[in-house]
Amino acid sequence: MELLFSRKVKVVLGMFFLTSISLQAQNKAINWLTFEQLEDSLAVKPKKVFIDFYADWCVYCKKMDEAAYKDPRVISILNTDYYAVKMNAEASREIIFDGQRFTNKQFGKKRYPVHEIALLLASREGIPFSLPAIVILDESFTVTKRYFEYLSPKKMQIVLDVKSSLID
Amino acid sequence: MKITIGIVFIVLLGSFSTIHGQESTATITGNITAGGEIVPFSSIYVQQIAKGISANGVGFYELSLPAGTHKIQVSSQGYRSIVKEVAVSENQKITVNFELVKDALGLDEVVISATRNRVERKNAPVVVSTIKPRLLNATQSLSVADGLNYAPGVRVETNCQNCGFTQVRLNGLAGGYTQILLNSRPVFSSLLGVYGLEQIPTNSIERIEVVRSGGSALYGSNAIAGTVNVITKDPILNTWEIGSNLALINGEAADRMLTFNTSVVADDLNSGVTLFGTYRNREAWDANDDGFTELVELRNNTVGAKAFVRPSDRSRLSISLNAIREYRRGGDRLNLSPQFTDITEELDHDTFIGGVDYELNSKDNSSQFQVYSSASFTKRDSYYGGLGGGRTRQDSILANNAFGATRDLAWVNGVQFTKGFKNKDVLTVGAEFNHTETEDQIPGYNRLIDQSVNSLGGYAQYEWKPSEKFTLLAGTRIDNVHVDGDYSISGIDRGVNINQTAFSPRLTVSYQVLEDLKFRGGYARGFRAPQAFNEDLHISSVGGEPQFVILSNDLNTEYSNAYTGSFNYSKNIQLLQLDFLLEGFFTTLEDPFTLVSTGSVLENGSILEEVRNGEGAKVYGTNFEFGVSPDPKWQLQLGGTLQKAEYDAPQLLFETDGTLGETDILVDEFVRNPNFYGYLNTAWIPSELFNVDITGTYTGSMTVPRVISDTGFLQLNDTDPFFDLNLKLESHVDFNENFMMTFSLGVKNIFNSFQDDFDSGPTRDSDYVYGPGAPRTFFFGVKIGKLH
Repeated sequence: MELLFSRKVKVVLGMFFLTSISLQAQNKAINWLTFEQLEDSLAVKPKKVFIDFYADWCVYCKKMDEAAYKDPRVISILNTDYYAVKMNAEASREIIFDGQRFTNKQFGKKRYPVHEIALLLASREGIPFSLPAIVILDESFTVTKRYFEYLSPKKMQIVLDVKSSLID
Repeated sequence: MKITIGIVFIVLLGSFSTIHGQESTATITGNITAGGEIVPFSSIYVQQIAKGISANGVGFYELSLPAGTHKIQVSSQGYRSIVKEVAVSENQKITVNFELVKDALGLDEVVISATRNRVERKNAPVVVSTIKPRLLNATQSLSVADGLNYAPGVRVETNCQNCGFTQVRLNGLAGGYTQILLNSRPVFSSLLGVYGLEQIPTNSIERIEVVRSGGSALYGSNAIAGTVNVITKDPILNTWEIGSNLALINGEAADRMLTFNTSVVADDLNSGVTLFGTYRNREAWDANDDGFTELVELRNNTVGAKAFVRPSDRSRLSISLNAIREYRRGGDRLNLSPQFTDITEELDHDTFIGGVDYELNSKDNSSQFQVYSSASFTKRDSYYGGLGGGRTRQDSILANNAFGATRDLAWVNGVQFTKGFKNKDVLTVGAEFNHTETEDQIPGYNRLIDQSVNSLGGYAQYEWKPSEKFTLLAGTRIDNVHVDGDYSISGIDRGVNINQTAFSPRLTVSYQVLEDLKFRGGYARGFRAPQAFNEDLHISSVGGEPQFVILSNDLNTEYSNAYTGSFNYSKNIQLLQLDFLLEGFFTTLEDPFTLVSTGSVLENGSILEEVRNGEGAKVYGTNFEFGVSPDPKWQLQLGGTLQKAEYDAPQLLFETDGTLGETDILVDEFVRNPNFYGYLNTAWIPSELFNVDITGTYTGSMTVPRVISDTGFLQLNDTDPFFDLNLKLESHVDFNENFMMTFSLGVKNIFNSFQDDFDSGPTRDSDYVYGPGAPRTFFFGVKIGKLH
């Protein structure tokens, strides 16, 4: 219990720090989190989660970095209403998330090794894993929407917009 | 629509909210299997209480849980995750077994949607060899002509020391048998075919696709040997780059090049443009110090643009524009006006190529309609002549009259409709109208080529996929071709006026024999209506006089039957990639257009070559390609062709006029065609910062004719084989995401494997060239920009 408490304090402090940065950088850049940071943040305050999987060879992912993720409205919505996570789907590092250990079991075995966490969240039945892959989860960390295509700034705004996602 | 998926992930909050009175009382045990077999080390996860464990090596697990209803999720790599709801009461012990289902289509390969990748290549019913920018860069290819050698069955040869005429030979068949496409359109006219391969710079190229043996009915009927499709870049990212290269041919003659490209694409990807330009200046080079060039002087400026707009989600309109200005000159005393030299071939091309393409997809994306129009127009000033070693009044008059003018138009229009059916079958129908007009005049020689070709074609093709493993592609083309041509040279007049309709069926089957092994087989019929093709438009020089080509009267249409069969084995074992292609081809030619030298029959002593219907011929052999890459750092590709090209009966190559000691020259096999040739392509990429490429081509021994007397009498020489090896070192530095730099340096043709018996002096046979296009060449290059 003590351990949990101290962890919570740390996280709160961390969050405070993060928010202060995010306030400053509100309309400049998205506060991308790692999965570890996401876990800590969710523990403090539940929010919707936006996850973007990319890879070095994914040209459409790069185009989204240039376009959608530079769009002021997208930046502001993502920073305010969501925890935004960005992850290289081909990363090799181990991720401990919610007590589970996720690794890239394909690393060193395949040309395009996909990390377990990406496979878990962005696999589709009958369709090979493809990028870009965008996963949106609600406050209870349940997947609500997934996109496997290029999203223009406009489309991204619609995707992220609370009202339209309710209609959806 | 809400996307519902099996994995309701993790309720995270649960892990931090304190669960009071939580006692582990119930026990759940069970086995995890798939199709009766044990699945070891699966992960078992209880969502509500965020508890996870792993099954042991024999697929057994044991879980202690509080009383209540739990969702238990079991997942394992390569299987679909499943969730079961289990209710347990206090102190209960129950067994819950899980049966997993294999994720068969799963997560094996990533599809790169922006490019045509290996997966797609694997699935194509015909064998498509692709030459990508990576390879063009590794081989330091400045123009298309340099890079084409690196696909099986393809060989680019230089045919003239005076003008650098190049042609691509596919499976040993000369340039006229290959259809060169620019962005899938046949705007490459016969005239452009003469020098055009050297006129297209590589900086604008996305990829070059080579299809041997016209397997699809979508390509023109004259694609007897196959098609070479040059596809220019279609951008997604906003990028820019500036590059410069300096090469020293044999350490002496400089070849300078400057290139740029930039692309801008809207954020919604609905519109964009890419702009590119090239400047090249290559000094002439003389191999044997006789004062006459072996490599011609070249000056090339190319600018172009490709733009697109999507008026709606389902349609796309694109425009491409290219302007090429190319000057080339070879011979001797390049600083003088051509008429004061012994030999000069000087060409000044002004080419404009433009095209419009409109694509409309149906609402459900099952069908597509395309309409297009493309044209190329070339205006060319030429000089083929000179004093030829003499200084008489007659020589001077002739030299002053060797200036010529050429106009050339190719215009392609078409519609195409593609319908995909639910069972994955695809129907393609279309129609194409091509109009070409070539007028080449040299008044001083009374030389005229005035040719117009109109062809109207219709095609239908059905791709039938009755099973996962088998595909049948059946199609046919009907072409109506009308050729109207007048050909004359110093008093000899010939004509072609032919209107004919030909039927060209095509059939291809592919069968997935094993998971990694695919068989493909095909038959294609093709034809060529009599007309002047690229080689026939070229003028060389022999004995100090120009050598002309003229069509003979009453030429019959040439027909071909091509059969191919191939096995393609490709396998990935962890990081190792293996790809092996073995292809057999057998092509018969009926009435092939063949050049026969009739000797020096023209008044001024010039040699005349006639295009005649030659003996029937069989061209057969095997192409192979072996690729292995143990991991992404190492790549090795080895390919080649082992072939024969034989005439059914001895073919006349030179017709004697009865001069003592000279006879008719007959050959059994095609000349200028080695029985064995191939390439090598290796790369070592230890990091992004640095890579090494070793590439090379092998050209086997072949028979090359050489004119040895004033009468045009030929000698058949057997040439030595050549091994042309290139080394390139490249370093890449990323300063930041918007600015990168690439340095490269290397040597082309390290061993200086190059022809050593060039003919010399003003009376040389300028066609007597063979083997690699250039001697040992050192090069250095820099590229800057936002490269990726």
